[in-house]
Amino acid sequence: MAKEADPGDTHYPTITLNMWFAISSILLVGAVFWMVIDDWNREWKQWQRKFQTMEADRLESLLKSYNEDPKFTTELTQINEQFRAAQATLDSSKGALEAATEALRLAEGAKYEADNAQRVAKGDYDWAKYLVEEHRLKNPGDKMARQGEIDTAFALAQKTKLAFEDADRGVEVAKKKRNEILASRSKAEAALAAATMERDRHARNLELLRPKTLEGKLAKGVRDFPGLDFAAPSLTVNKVVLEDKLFFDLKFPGKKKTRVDMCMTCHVPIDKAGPEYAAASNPLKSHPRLDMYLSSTSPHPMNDFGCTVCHAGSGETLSFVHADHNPRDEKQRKEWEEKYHWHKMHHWEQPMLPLQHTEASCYQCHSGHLDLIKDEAPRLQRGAELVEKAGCYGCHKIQGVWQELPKAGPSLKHIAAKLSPDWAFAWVQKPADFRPSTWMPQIFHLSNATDTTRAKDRIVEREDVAVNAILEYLWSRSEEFAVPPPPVKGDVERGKEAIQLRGCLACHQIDGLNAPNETNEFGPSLAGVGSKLGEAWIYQWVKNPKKYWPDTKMPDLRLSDQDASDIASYLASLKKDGWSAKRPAVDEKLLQEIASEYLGNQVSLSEGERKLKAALAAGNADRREAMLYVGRKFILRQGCFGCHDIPGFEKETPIGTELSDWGSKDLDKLDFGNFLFTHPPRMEKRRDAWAVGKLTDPRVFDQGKIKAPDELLRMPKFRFTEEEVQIVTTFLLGLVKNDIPVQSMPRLSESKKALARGAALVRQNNCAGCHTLQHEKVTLKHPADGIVSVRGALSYDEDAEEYSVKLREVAPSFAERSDNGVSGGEIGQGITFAKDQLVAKGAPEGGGLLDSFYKLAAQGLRLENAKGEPVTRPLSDATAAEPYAPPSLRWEGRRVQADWLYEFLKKPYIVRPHVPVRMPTFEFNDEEASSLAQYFVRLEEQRYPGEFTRRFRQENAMSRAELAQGAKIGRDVQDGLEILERLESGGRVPADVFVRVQAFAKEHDAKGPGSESFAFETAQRLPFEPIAERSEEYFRNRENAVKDYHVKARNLVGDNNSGNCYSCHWQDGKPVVEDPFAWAPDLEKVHQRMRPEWLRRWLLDPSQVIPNTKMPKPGIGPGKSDAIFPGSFEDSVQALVDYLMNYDRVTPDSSAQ
Amino acid sequence: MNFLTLAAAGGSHGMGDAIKDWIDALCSPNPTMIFVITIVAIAALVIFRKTMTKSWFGWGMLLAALAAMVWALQDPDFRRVTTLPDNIPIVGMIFLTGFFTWLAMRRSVENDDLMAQGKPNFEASESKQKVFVWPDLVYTELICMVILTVVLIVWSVVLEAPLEEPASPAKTPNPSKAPWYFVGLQEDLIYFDPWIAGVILPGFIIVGLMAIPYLDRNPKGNGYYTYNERKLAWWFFAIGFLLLWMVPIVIGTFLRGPNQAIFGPFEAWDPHKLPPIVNVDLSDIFWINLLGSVKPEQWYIRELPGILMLGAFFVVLPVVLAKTVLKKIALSLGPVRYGVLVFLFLSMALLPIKMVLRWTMNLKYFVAFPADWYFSI
Repeated sequence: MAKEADPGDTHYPTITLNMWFAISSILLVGAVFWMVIDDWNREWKQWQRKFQTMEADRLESLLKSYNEDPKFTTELTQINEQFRAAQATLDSSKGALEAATEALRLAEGAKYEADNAQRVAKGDYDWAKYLVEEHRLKNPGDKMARQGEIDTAFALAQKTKLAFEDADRGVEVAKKKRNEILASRSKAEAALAAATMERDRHARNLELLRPKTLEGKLAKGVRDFPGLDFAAPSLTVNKVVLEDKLFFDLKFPGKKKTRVDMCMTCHVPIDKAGPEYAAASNPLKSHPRLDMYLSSTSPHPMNDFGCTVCHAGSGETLSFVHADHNPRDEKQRKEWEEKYHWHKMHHWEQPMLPLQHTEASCYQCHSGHLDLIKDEAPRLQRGAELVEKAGCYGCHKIQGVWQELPKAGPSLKHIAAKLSPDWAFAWVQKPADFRPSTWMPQIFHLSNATDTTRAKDRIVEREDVAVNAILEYLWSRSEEFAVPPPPVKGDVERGKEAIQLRGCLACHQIDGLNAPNETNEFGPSLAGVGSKLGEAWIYQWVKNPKKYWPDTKMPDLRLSDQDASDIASYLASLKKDGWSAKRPAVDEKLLQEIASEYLGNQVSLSEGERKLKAALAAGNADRREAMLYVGRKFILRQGCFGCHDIPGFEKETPIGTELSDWGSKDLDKLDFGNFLFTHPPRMEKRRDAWAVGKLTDPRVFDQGKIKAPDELLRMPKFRFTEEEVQIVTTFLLGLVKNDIPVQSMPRLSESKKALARGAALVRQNNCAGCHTLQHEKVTLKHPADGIVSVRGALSYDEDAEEYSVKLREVAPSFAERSDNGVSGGEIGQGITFAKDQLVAKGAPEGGGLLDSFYKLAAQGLRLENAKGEPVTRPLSDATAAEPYAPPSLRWEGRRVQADWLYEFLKKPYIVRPHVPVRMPTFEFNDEEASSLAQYFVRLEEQRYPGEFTRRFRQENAMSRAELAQGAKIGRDVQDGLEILERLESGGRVPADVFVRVQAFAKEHDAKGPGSESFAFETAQRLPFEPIAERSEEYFRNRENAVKDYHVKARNLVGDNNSGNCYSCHWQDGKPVVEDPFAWAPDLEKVHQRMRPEWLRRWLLDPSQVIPNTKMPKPGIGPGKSDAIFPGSFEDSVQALVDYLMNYDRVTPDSSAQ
Repeated sequence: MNFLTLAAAGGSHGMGDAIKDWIDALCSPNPTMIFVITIVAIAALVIFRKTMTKSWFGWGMLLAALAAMVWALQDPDFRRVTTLPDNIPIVGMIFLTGFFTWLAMRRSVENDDLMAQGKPNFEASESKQKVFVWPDLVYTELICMVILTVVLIVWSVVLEAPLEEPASPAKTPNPSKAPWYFVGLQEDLIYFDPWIAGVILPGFIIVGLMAIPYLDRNPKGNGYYTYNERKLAWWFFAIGFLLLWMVPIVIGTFLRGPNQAIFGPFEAWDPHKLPPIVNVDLSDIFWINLLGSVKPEQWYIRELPGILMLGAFFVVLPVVLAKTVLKKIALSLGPVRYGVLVFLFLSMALLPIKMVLRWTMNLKYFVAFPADWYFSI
């Protein structure tokens, strides 16, 4: 170039241009390389590479374990031996094989020729047909022209086809012959392939991940090479496309987009089971709950649910920051900022839920049955419970079950009959001053009122006027409610005892009588209640709570007049120390000012309001009129009617923002006040940050804002702890607007529905206040099995070397291994273990009353005998007092008939005359009673598979591993073991597991049910099936089999020689013995109440069902009751069962019939 | 509270903060001062053109701008808005526009000096020489092409394409902004009816640009830089392009925040900043403020003052101008060309006039036609 033009003639020297061209070209090449490398070098690839290394290491060690497995190597040697032997035989008859091979070759050659011939003939035939058809169309005269050609071609085609078939057969014959010769070697080959199939598969996978051969290495290198990785890379984007299953709401009406989650591009082994993945760290860690999520056998398989519908975040992005991960705390935030240059994705509206809030997402599908998923989503359930307790739904509408709940606070319809305005003034101003544990929030004198920048507006004084005016309004509208004095005089000391005996402390807490616990905070604390309520009102209330407040949760304890009066006297005597409340006078000027202000702002005025306005202007307004007007305005402003029934506000709508889809609420619609921009500390623009701020101080966003008094924020402050604020936030984040298609929603079985409804009722009525629902769990180190848990009462003495647990539920680990130094395993038995073996001791679920009850019993339990005289006796410890306490409901569904339970819940009566605590009348409606009755049955039904499996193994001395192998459960033995462990402890397992166990048990146990206990466990009848023992037919059969069967059985009950049942049990509604401590349930009603299979199990050995029972083992059977009922002990027990189940049929005269 | 609150905005209020506050106050709540400063800057460039086009001055300006930029980037709010991948080109545009305006003036000054000495200007003497298509044209173009490609590739690798939230008809982004090249036009929407700002004015711009060869028959300044010979054209360009096109792009990009409120460059975009908009029509000013009466019912009577004023502006003013200031031009162009030129000029002038009236008197419309016409001026 330089030669062609004279450098002097060009404007720029060519050499300079060349240099620039060279430089720019090099830059271009560099830039292109940079572009390709940048495109290739994606963040996610590092994780996939790491995963490949991990997986390769795993496969390598797996392969190594094959080579080290003596069983496998021996098997392999054997097969190889067979192969060599077969080869040797073949070698010896070489000629035959060669001949057969040659024959096969020739046959195949012949087949090939024949095939060609038939194809040609077929083609010729088709061609002939075409030609002749054409000819006939053109010459319509001769319809059968040239038929001969067709016939010839057809005949040839047929002939060649037959020849081909012959040749084909020839090949088959030759093949068969050759295979026969090769048979033994082929067999060895097949065996080798089968034995090494799995290993070879692993080896093949390993070769892909970590190639050993040159071409493998080359191929892997090329596949993932920058710029070439578009074809078939080993590092690829993994994704789940949830077509027709879950959608992403595009916010255009009616427009949805299929949800696509690519999270598993980095979280590669998220759905893979195996200890290596469980132990790895994120993102190469498997999901911690594969039994619940992602795995194909779980209820939420990955291909149906993906990731983001629960975790939120951006599923279609491939980098840590873009996926909108969110740190769970400050430490993690710092760590992420350093490690990933993390920052919030401001434009993504569904940020990933921080780990502690992930449960929130369960609400989308499980909102109707949170009690059912309590174990999986404890925070969410607790959050819902707190929202229910705090009554958030009163002001904030929340779609769903929330709209059916009664108002959270008491009715104020008859408030004048209950409270004094002096007390009420102090209470409304600051409820916690009187009762720190109250759920009534603080409404006035919060941060935006006491803010010094508002001193000019006199907010605090305004609020004093407001409280006064509100009370004025409430008292003026309070309806008539008669509170006559109690008919009998009460006694404080007796009242103190009665309140402990009758079960009041299950829901209420009184200092000195019981320590606060989960259940006794259900109702308000009664400390100092005498400073609030009068004796007469308390009497009326405890006699019939629903009379004053129809929606109250307080049940009717059916107290006698005396009991009620004693309790009223006692409660009225509980004064709060140093409490004196006086309602201050109203600041008249301020009142008028406020009234004028409100009247001025009001658009339309009623007649009365117009008059008031005129009067105010004229300066001669009636003080009371103004008070009532302002009171009404403030009730409206604060929305008091959201929680309380207030006359005159029946039709008002709640004042709060609807929360139904708060979790999807546009962040710009949340008022962060000054906290996003100017006000230090700046708050992060996140929903959870807002909720935490709002719940911690509901008025915080007024800080630094200039507002008129009526514009100030008005949400009251609840007594949430810091932890509770976080939990309620979890709940709020769950209230998202997501259209989950019906087919992706859970379909609850009838049984699950009953469990959900029942659990909610049990919680809402505080059944756990009295009844134990689940016994305490003791976790200890087992010498053979590692960490195991048993349920039972742990007793220990700090000085002793050993602890012991009295079992309340079977503990198979111990029953199975009586040889290893720890004995026991059956209910009622004790197991002892060294002190250092104890790992943890869990609290029992329910039975909140018991601690204080046992404390009282130790001092002396007062019962009344038949004449109503008190009998007091100290019961030294829980073991002795337990029979007198409310019964555990652990076995309720198995113990009683559902029909009876239904009737009993609707109309309770005294079942256990020796128990002083009353089962109250809750006034359940039909639906509630039937749901509760079903609930207990369904609970047993749910526990049944686990208990059956455990029992079956125990009876047959079979280990879990044996059962897992026998019934083919799990992918491998370890997996099977884990599944069975979950099954036996009531956890979730794939649906087919129990079917397999049952089938295996049936096969294994073909000779029939084993021992008594096993028969009991297997006799799982349908819950609502009629009781067979109660049928006429059964009765007659029994009678026919043994003469006077039932009469004899009746005599067995009342036999003084073998232990008269009536020495404790009541008979026909009356006690037989004097001592109330000896009393036991009336036998007259047993046939209505008990289930026969339970009754039999119970009578066989009561202490093996309920360890601390008063009931002894019946003294019947050989050598004891032979005279009355000859037969074995078991037969005698059966006779007792049959008699008790037909008690009403066996009259004293029935022997005569 | 907890980690969800960021660290307290720290420190004492130093000298730097005072400067930032001053700049913020200069820019908001309305951009009057920005326009004033721009006009002053343009005027200064003209008046002190001899000094300002010296190399040392150019370098000094560049270094000062860069230093200011480095200092300002320390501020998180400034950084947030200037380093958005969307906005980085506009930062570049400010520098480029400044540079080319300066360069053009420098060449003009050189040429004007040459011509004042009776010498041919630089371009004239240069255009007599001839160069080869190869290598002087094609080769240099090739090199430019390669370098531009390199720049585009590096740019696309370094700055990720920005993505915003999923679109929603119920919730438009706040602020909603046009693509950068229309941000200036969008600025007009603040002052004018959408019909005028969105359709008529852009139409005039295109038509006006096409009409230039037919309107401007002055051969001076053809193919060379000059200020002295084409003062009016230069000012037309400075006002029409620099002031009314480039400056609004800069304002719209960097200073318009949520609710279209103007934020200083060091201010956080707080959506609570809602400058009151209590704009009034000319009819309000006339009937209520001046006459102290109420507005007439019929719109044509009500809007008469505005209609008359606009009529005077577009019909009487050109005639007056033709007889006075623009007499020479009117004569040389003839009535049609003159009419078109003046009409286009007055349309352009309407823009700053309306802006000034908005800032000073909160003027909304000169003429507010009935609402169902969807058109007002």
